[in-house]
Amino acid sequence: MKKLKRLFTVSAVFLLLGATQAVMADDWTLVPGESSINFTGKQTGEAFSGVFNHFKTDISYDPDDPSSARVKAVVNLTSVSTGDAQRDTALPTKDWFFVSSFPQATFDATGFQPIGDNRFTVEGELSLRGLIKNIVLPFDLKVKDNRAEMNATFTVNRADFGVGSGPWAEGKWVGLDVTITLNIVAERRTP
Amino acid sequence: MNTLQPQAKRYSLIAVLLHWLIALLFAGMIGVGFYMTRLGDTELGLKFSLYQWHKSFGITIMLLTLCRLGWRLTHTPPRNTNFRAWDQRIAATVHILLYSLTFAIPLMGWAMVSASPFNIPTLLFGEFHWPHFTFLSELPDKASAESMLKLIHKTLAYGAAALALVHMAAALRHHFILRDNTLMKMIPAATKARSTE
Repeated sequence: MKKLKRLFTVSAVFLLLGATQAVMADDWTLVPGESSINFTGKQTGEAFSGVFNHFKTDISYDPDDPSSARVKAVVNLTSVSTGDAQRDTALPTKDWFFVSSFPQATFDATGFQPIGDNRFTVEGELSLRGLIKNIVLPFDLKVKDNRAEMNATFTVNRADFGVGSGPWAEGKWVGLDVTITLNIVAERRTP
Repeated sequence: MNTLQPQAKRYSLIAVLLHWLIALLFAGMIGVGFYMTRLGDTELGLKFSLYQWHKSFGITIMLLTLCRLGWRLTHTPPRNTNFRAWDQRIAATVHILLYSLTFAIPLMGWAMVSASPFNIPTLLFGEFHWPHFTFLSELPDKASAESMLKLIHKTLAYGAAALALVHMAAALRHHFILRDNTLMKMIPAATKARSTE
């Protein structure tokens, strides 16, 4: 009886895993070593740049049918690094990313709109610090054989997401506009 | 007071070094503190960076004062040989106040930074994370706590600066007018203390 129960549990877990895989069809695998998410901002008038070291993607894209594309990216906000110990200590705290409550930022989008010359736009939901906003992301996408390279530069207003609260909510000391640069390399998963 | 105990003519080297190091840092802190709080919005970068240095050196002074108190309590200082009773009492009072203030001013600065609505982390010399008082950083009305602590920090700093001037004037009086060895007890380069006996 006990054995049977365990067998049942194990098969249920496998079934569940299988189901998840089927729903999240991922036919492009991120190449982390060649991909990066960078950003630049301004602090007391001086530009600074930062990077998110850990992120994951879940990409389905058929070059013959861009409208069916689906992208989900999850960025680990604790992996932020700006090369300045003070900034890096402040960023995870409640005033900024508030990672203890919102450890991740996600971008969830479907349907690539080709606008010619390897350029596309995609509309998706950016979720950051508990707030979700629709953004339109323009990007370049080049696919060669089984390798895809995506590059995008876009600007978000950190105040839209409550990043920087209290006296930081205004842009006096730290600029409100943050420019994000994505360089994503993915390889087609061969069945 | 134990008058039978043999007394050194000068402060020990550690005591002398701590005295002058803290004196130098303190003078710098008064100057930087005065300057940085008056910087306008056109020089925010400089202002922020001076605050960081001010915090780093402030905590340094606080820790050095603790070392100094530890040293003072475990080592007998040289006696003032020709002080009148009330001179001795004033000197001792000023010394106790200066010891207390070089500890209390950074402590109040630390408290003030903890209560700041800016929540700027303190990284000593850009490296070592110095924690804030959580009971202050979690206050519902941080702004008013901060302004009160700011006032205390500032008032104590001006008070200490005034006392330091009195202390310096007294040292110079002893050296040039009373012509005793009071100042020489604190001069590291002096090989022989001026004799008063």
